[in-house]
Amino acid sequence: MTNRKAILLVTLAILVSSPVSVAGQGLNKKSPAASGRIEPLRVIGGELDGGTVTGQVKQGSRATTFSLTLTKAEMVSGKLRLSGDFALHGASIKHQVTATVGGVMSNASNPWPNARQERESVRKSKQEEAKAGEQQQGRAPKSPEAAAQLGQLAQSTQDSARKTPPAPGEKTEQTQSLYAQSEISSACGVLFLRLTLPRRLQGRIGTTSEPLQLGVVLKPFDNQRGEDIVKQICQLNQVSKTTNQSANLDQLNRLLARSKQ
Amino acid sequence: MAKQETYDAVIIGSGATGGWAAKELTQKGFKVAVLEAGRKLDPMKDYTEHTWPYELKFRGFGNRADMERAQPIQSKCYACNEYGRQFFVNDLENPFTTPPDKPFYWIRSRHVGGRSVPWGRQTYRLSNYDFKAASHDGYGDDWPINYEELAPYYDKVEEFIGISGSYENLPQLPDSKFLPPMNLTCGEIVLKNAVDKLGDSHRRVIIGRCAILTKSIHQGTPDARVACHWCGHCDRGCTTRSYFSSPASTLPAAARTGKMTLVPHAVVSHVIVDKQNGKAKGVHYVDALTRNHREVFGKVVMLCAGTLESTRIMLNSTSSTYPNGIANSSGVLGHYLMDHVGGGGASGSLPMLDARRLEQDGRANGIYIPRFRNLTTKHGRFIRGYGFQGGAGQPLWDHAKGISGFGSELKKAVREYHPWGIGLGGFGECLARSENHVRLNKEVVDAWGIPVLHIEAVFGDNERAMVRDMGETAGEMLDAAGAKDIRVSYGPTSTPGILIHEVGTARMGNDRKKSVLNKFNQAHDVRNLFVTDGACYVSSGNQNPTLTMMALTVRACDYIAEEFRGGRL
Repeated sequence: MTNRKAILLVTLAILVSSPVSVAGQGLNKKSPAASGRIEPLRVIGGELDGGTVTGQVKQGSRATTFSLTLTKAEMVSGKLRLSGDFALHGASIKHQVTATVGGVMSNASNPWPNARQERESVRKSKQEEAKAGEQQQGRAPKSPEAAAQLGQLAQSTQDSARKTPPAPGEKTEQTQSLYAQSEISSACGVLFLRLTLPRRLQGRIGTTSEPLQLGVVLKPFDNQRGEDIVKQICQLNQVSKTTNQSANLDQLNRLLARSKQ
Repeated sequence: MAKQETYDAVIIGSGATGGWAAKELTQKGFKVAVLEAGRKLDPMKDYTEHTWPYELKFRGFGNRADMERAQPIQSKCYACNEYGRQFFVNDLENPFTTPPDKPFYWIRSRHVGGRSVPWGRQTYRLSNYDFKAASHDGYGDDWPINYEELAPYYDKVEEFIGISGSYENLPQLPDSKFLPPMNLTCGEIVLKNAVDKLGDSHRRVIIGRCAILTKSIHQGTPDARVACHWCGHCDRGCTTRSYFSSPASTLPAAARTGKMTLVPHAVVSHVIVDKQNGKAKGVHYVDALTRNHREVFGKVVMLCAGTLESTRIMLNSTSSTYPNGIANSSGVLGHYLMDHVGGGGASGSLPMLDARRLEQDGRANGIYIPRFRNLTTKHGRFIRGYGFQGGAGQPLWDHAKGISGFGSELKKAVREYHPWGIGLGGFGECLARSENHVRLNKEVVDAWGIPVLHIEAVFGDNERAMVRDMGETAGEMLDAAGAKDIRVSYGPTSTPGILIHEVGTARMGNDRKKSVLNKFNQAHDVRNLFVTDGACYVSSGNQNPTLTMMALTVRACDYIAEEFRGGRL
């Protein structure tokens, strides 16, 4: 199928599924001029569990599930290239695809320490030192961390309404500075892969010959291998900073090989 | 193809500054188009300030797995939760990139009203300690304006939107035109009294200044808005319009003129340039619903899309006339990115106060301790300053985690005991550094095919020293107040971006070789292009930035009208 046909199909699907065009909605019915171009599908997203990314390709209101199992990593012209098997739900054929890393959205570890984490130093007040052991007024909480959080959680506006008890650990504008500490470490929160798809698959998905962007997030729980894979990809993507590239690559390929088993 | 219509002005963005631009220009007789990348919100469906936790599937905690999947960055924001995640973008559809070891949290809203819908509404003026900071300590550049030039515009904004606060006569934090202040809590009064006795005349505990109505305003006019009813959840919307947001205030005023065309779902990719004269002649956008590429034309283009989005649009507006992006002959566009630095502060308990009486009243505000460092004396370890936000209060139920026991006895204790706590968190100035910058990453695009920003920003030694001092002074003040269980945080610093005060990247200045905009927010290179959001900032100050952005917008609109009348645009 030609690219033009693919674009036409996507456009039709979107137009059929969209109830109304809302450009100029409400105040003035004149729509700004259309240039005649229709933007094709550029971006999809998926979740990495182990060595497999699963997600959905959305075309208007229709969504098709896909999976991409990563199988191999290599360095090509100094850039990391990943290979894998791409399959649409219900299709028996797996398509061999390749991908490069377009960029990452990094993440800081533990950006919102919560009440139970021992991160700050305890400061004994002069009065406290003087009255050590003295009974506090009322029933003091057993956990000093909980007591320390009370003011932040309770006072700052949003938590204080009688009728809506706060969710524990809720942050507000007034408290966010205290919660905003972060331990910066090399961590790729989201990977953006540029997938080169075979022409036949481009038609099925409704994209063009340009690479399709796949945003990859980690499945958050019980996913050590996924975390390790992302970590290796993240390190290899920092080409200039990677000192032990071949070891990283070997490690990544070992992790990916388990996907094929 | 539809007949091209040319507006007097095309405004990109409908948030705090876009709303003001629309109001000012339409009321001056301009015919404007306001382009907004997102949808129109329906307050009756989208606002959740009166929603009970038990009405939500996850009782307010949200579906963590789903939020990690769709909003891994946005969910770092305090307001992006089960109540309010609809106010924040999908990160995979609206990506940006960073170096793996330099995280930046770009918190974004895409709907009519932008971040003016969920923001915290803390509103503080800058002073000449900020506008002329370079003259004060020798670092960086002064703004091309001073406080006195902007003061009348602060007045105008404050009188229209309504700011509650107390008159303090502080040189580092000029007073606004205030509605009555909200009250301090008992714990905050304890702190205030203690701080007053510390002997530092610059250190003051005051009630926060915020754009929430403590009394009804503009009664008997179409701009009338009613006073706050103290439900206390402003980050989830306000169906009574008692807080300031552009959909509650400025946009309706603009709409009433009949001169505003609001275009939602308009994802702007670039400014269209007239090759003949180098002026901006309109903008190109993708309709987010139909995916149609469209163009809209105007005699003036105003970028009010938010600090980083406005700069992204300019960087993406390349042409033979402007190969490095529009208004970028200086090469400065994208540089000098700043966000406030946090991570320092202290918290504790106030056992001297009666825990058996619950005195919470839904006050939608906290306290503020304005900058007190580097005013009349010099601190040895850092320049500039920081303020504290925080407060003292009682929890309803959260203390239950710290009480031992079982069954009815435990429940009784939780109900009858609401211990006082207190906390202070610093918001510090981030120095403007050229190396903290954004540029286009053409390898990654958003859902509409527009190249994304690559953001590279870190805090430096000055910010780290400041955060350390935040911990020291906050601990000292809580100690003086007699707080117990004091826990001090000396750092590490916050992740850049997470305090959601990102500014800079298209700075103002008198020297066109060192800045993007002149003193009226007009591009040096393109006289009918204006940028009035936080991108124009020269230095970050330490006060929350939105009020200043709005005042600058009103000032720029006056200038636009004058230039328009003079035929110079």
